[in-house]
Amino acid sequence: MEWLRYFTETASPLKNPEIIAWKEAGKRIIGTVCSNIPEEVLHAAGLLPVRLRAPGLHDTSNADSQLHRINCSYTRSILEELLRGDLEFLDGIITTNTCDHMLRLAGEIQDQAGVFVHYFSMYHTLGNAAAEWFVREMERLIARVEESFGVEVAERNLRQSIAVYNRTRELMAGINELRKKDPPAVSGAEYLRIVLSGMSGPKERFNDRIEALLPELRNRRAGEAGLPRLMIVGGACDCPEFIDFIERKGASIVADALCFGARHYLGTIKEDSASPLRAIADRYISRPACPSIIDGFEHSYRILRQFIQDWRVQGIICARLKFCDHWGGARKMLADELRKEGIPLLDLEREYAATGSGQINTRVQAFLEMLRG
Amino acid sequence: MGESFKRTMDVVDGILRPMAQVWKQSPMPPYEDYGHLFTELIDTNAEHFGDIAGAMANKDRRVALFEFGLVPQLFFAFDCAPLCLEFYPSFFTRTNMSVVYEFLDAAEEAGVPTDVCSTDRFILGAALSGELPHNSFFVTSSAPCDGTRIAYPILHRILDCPILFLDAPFRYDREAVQYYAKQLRDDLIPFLEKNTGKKFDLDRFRQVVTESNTAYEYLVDTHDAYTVMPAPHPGILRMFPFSSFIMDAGHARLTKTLRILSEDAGRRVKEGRTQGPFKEKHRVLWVHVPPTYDMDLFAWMEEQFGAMVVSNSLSSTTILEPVDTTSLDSMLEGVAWQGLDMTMSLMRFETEKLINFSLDAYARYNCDCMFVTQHVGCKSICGASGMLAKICRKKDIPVLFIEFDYNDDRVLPPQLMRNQIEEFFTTVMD
Ligand code: SF4
Ligand code: SF4
Repeated sequence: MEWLRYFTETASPLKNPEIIAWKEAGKRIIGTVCSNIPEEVLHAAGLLPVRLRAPGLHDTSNADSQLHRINCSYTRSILEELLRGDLEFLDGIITTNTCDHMLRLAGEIQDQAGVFVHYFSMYHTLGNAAAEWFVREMERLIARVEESFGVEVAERNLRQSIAVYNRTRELMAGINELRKKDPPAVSGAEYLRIVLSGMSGPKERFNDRIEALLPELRNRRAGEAGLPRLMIVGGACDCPEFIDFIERKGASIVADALCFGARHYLGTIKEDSASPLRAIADRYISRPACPSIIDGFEHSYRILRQFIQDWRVQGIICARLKFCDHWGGARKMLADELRKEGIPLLDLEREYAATGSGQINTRVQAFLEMLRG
Repeated sequence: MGESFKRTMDVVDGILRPMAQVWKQSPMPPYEDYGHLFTELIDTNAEHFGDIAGAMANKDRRVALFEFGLVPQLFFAFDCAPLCLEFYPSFFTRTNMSVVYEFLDAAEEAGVPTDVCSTDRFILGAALSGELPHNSFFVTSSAPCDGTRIAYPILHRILDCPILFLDAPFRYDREAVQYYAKQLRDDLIPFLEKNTGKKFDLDRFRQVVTESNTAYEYLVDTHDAYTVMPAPHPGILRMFPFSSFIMDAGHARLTKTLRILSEDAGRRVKEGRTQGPFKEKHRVLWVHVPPTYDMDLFAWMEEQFGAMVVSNSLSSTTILEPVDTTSLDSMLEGVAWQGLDMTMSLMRFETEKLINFSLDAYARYNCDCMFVTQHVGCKSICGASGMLAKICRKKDIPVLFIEFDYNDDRVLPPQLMRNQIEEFFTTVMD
């Protein structure tokens, strides 16, 4: 599949050809640990934001002696990469406090990174207070970036970056539309590779690629028609092999509400707003809230229901990482709501690097059999 | 579904009140000399819960369920009876463990994952079992942790009562405090007006804050008394003043109790009578929360090893100033600060700040060793273990990490914990 090659290459490994080229051009790269960190602001500073991942990493023993085994394997994997020196290409890292695991990862990064580190303090409720807080945090981030890298983030830069990100999100919405078909134009695993690629290199180049790809995909059919149509939700799920593992059992993953997915690409930022920062904040607050937002469930569930309806989703897989409280709680509320609507949910607890296992295999098989009736 | 608050009041009437009498009439050895203090603390606790039961039955009052990140002065200003849910499990762990198991099971059966903190599982189990008081509303901030952030949206679905969520900032500067105070003004006060049917009365609020300021000064004095060597009161008494403050700040019964405690400590210091029944040899800083189910642990440590627990995270604050009562904004800012920077709300601190806070306490209380709870559901304290261990190594601080569940004695039975402590004192500290 020639069309997918660019996306596969940039989705894995983290230090991909785009990143190497960017670095060789003498430009700076900033790692981010969470989809709540407003990349637009970093982009406006001429920096390349890259969402940190640990593709293919299975051993986290160095990190395990710093964080704890009850910290989720995503945070331990990122720390492991840092400790092994695999993130040496970064010029800085933006940490945050989305969850307690992230908060402690932030401490470790601060202690060990040896490069520019900024702690972006997240809100945990929706509403006006949170939007105001988010704006203040962006102002602090800008001030630190300007001071540390000797750059200026002018309003016109912000507006340009907003336009670039809007374009990305619009193009990704175009791809997502094609997943409504039966069979969808791209499989769930292919889609995730595209998603990851978009987080791992310059957005402008990614936009060009997607723009060229869209017409080619219009008449494409990925797999058979009539397979059970699934949606995947959960935290830190960025492993195309895992999605592939599920789809090979005879299913199509046609929608998601993942940080590595819809939460990154959903929503448009108002381009003519008097305050670009407030416009960015409004987009972050109106997209499906992550379960760390204490009053965000109803809002997210409304969006999720719309997905279920529009993409004709027949079953949901909640792929949550072991020890992740936020997704544990969201899974319970989701299960209660979906039960009322008669939509089945499969709860899969997994480790970050897991591509599949005997137990997951059995549970997915049983779930699909139930869906097939 | 059981009868609301019945198990709680059974403990109050069947255990707490008789226990207060025992401490009054024939105080238990070896702490006879502190009997009046135990009586006072237990009585106040009983009154606190009795007041909640009273408010449940009074159509002119409401029970204010609330969470860490808040202190109760505003609730008292609206004549509510506050119940801080985070402390609720420890009420039963100290008195009736079977209720604890029952509530934990109820939460698990309802689909709450077992790796979520037992405090939150307990609260959800209590709600599912119908134990939480009715005629209530609920206010929570987003501090301190993931456990509370997932428990309360679920609780909202179980309890049919009004709820308000506030955003606790994870920064510690004045701007952050003002951000939180603004929510108290713009969101909490209107919420309380709506749900109590009463208008906000600034003078009444000032009166409550002034009362809590008096209590706060006694609290800080008691806090300071533990810097004296040997400490003037047994370690177990260190556990209660701060939790009492979070439960009752602004109520006269708390002020009275804290006055008695602080005056007693002050007197002992002044008279040079701080030595307790056992010779103090070691001073322990207990980072995070000691077990709440083994009330004899501290006495055992004092007797066996002369080890006095002089501070823990539940008995801590970053602020030592009373609230400025000049204006509504100054009072709200002070109350916001107290809520955010006391007891377990500290867990939202960045790791470095959390560690520095512990190191300051270690120095201030002249400690010679540190215990660190690795509470099996607390991703926050467990996640700090690597950096804590590193800094302790660097500073040559003897440290014992103990993995247990501070609400559930089945995870590490008391005897096994004691074995670990014994080994620490006989090998590392000997
Ligand atoms: S998967 Fe859960 S625990 Fe891990 S970083 Fe994400 S929200 Fe936190
Ligand atoms: S112990 Fe940790 S997880 Fe449990 S309530 Fe306290 S801060 Fe939250």
